[in-house]
Amino acid sequence: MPHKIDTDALLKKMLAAAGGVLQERWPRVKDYAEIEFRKLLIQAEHIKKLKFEKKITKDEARLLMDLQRNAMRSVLLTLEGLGILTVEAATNAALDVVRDAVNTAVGRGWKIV
Amino acid sequence: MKKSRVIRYTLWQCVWPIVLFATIGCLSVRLMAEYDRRIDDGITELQKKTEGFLIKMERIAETPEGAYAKHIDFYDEVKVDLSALKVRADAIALNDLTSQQVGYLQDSFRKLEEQHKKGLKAVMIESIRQSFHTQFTTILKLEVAKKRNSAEGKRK
Repeated sequence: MPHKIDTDALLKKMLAAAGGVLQERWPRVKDYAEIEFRKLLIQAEHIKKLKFEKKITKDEARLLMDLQRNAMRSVLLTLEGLGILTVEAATNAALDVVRDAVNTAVGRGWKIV
Repeated sequence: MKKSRVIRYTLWQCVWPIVLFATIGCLSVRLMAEYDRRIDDGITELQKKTEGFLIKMERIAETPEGAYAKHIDFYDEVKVDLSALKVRADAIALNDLTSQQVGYLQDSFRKLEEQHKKGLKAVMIESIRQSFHTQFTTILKLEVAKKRNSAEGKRK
């Protein structure tokens, strides 16, 4: 029997690596990242099992892992995108505050900006 | 000399509030492309097509009916669909992430086709489904997030 993949330890490492890159944007996307990373690790374990039981060849296992790799890349791009959108929303919310402050300062119900 | 300085000062006093208001009024930050319905619809349609193919393959894999030669049309259609989506994604500014995701999807279908030429086993289908499901979902999730940012009025 081959070594079992320690999914919990790997998951922690993956989360730490992604968190280090995404920094302050990380808390917003952490839950989603954890779900997706866990799914990918479960799949890796499943592929390894199929290979060990000789249900698939080495080339077939490689194809399945390549597909998982592309899935992982897509997850990471979405995480990056969600982080960027969070920054964008926060910046625009701050600008809205300035806009409201100027309108309030002008008074008389005028909305000059 | 002194008079021109006074004129310039007076003009500046009139102009700067206009400049400031115009700047604040127009100022909003956009770091990512807007939501694109055609990407959303295109990916959803492709997901359906792929799922239909995988359900069929689960039943007929490793039989003559499941041979690559009988499914060339599926791969041809997918190539056309993905090419259209890639061109669309590439053409939109600040859409690099979605464009890369579509590129990875193209690569996944290329690899699946290569493997199918050699033969697909039923036991592989669930793993293939899961990886494609993740790819479709991540593209749609990003598109929906773009839509939400717009809908919440945070992007002007």
